Amino acid sequence: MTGPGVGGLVRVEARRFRYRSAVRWLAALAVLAALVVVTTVFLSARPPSERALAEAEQQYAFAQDDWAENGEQYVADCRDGEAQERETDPGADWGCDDMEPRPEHYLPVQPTLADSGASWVSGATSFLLLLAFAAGVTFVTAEIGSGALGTWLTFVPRRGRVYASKVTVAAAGVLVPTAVALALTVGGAWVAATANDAVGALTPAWWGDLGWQALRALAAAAVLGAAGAALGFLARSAAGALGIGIGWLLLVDSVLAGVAPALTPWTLRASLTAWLDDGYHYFATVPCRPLDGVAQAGSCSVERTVSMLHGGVLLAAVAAVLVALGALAFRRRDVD
Amino acid sequence: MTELPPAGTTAVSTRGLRKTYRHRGRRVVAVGGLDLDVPLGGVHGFLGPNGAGKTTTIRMLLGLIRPDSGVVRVLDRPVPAALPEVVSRVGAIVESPKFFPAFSGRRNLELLAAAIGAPGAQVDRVLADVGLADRGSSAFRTYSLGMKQRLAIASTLLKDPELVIFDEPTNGLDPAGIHEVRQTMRDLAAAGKTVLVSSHILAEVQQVADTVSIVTQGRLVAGGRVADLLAAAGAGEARVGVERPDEAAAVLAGRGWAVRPDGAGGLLVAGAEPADVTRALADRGLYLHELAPGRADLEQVFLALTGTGEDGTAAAHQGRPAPHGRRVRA
Repeated sequence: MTGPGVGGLVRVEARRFRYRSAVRWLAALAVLAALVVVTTVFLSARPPSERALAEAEQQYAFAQDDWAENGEQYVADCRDGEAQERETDPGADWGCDDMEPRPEHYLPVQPTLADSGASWVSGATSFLLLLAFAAGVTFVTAEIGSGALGTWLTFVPRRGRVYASKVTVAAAGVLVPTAVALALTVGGAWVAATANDAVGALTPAWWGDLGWQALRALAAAAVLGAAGAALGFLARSAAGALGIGIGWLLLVDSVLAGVAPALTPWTLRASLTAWLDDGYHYFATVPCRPLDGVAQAGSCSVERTVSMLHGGVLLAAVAAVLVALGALAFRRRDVD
Repeated sequence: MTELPPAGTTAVSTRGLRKTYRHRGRRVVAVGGLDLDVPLGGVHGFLGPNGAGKTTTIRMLLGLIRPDSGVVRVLDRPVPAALPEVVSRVGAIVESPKFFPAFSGRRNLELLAAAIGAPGAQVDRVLADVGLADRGSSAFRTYSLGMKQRLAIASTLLKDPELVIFDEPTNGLDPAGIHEVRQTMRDLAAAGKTVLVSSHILAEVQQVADTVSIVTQGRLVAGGRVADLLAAAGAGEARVGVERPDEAAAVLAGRGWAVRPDGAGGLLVAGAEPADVTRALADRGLYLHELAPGRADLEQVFLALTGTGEDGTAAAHQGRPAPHGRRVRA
């Protein structure tokens, strides 16, 4: 008898994953997060009230009066500033010819599903990914902490198979609750937008982009579930694994990006955002370019982008390293 | 290092088994070159004081921890290399029973049964066997210690194992629970299985074990049949009841025998035949009112071999042989 294969163990681990009350709590939190986003969408997509419209018209009237009195001066100041900047940046355009107040500048903006749907889904996704990571961590650390892993190994001593089955289930197990929460977010946002007459034009391309965004979110959830499980094997405690994961995102990434902005593409947070939102924009400080062949002193700020592909590859590589390290540690470590 | 015994004669054999840990920058020896043989069939007691390396040894037998060096053979297969081949024939409870606290006893067993491909009906059968059929759906964390122990026994029975390992199985149990576990061990042995039970509670082991191995400081200091160990320990001392014990002690000591008070007004004389003791005292006008062969129990053997005496000294702990140490092989 050589024992069950990875497939058999995956089925057993999937049962255990479903039975876990912590997983159910995390799934409930995912649904709650979706409901919070939907509620926010409903509130923000409401048509402006009569009072808001009246205030906006009043502000517009003030601005018109001000423009009549000082408009020429504003335009002159604008042209001076623009000319000054053009000494270092010939393409500078401050829009001095389009400064007159217009009503739409003052009326409250009513977001539509077509314009803001992607950002609404993105808002829910961040929290869902945190839950996926926590589910992966606790799936492993609960077993280690209770000592049940030792009992399990006296029944299934093939550590490679045991590890593979647990990491696989941690990755696959988070897909269903994440998908349900995303579907709830999109569906709820559509209902909220429809109720407020703020749907906009939902073209097939829009739906395609949204579906692709949701798929990327699901892939990220699976990767974070697996990474959480691997980190659980490495840290052997939920507090340790969650502390390392969240601490890295909040502290190490922030410090890296703050001290050396050029390293931003190599931070997890930027990579994750780039993967989820189809790119991540940041500003880097670089030496100013020569102007008319004359070297310029000082430094200039330029906008750069971390591509979705770059972010996805970096995340996959980090997850692969974590999973490999976890496997190595589990194979070699003594089990209590 | 002695050679491993021939295949088919032992359930467990180790040679030169060694495990060290790093503790506060120092390397601590948990098991220091253990040669252990557990014969096939019957109950084998694995005895030693706390910290002697019993649990570490059992964990190495089960592949839970990796030995630094040495050879382990379980059911004639090398471990850990061939552990997957024999694990279905080995049931084990290491220290306190450990399961998922929030899951019911039945659910815990269902998962284990599914992992080894045992039929689901087996779960109900083993729960009934250990008297947990009524509490099978309760969460494991709500079980008493005795119930947890019974669930652990039930889990080992899922495999119908040839070798069952119990590590300190009666820790924390009430007398009824201890009796149940002891009876379970005897039943398993009667069913032809080999039971390896580690314990530091000697009376418990003496009642169920056919053979024992005694370890201290991670090394074997004695092993063999319980009856042989007790006979060897008891043959050396006779209990003597006599008038004027101080005078009698001087007479017996003058003959070169080791004499010590027994703490109840009598003497314990080592190395003398009872007839010689009678004659020596009668010649000096000292008449016996009691002469009994020494009745050692496993605890006395254990204390002597491990060097843990009443005064708390431990000769073995100082790296010297125990004063009355002997090695008996079955």
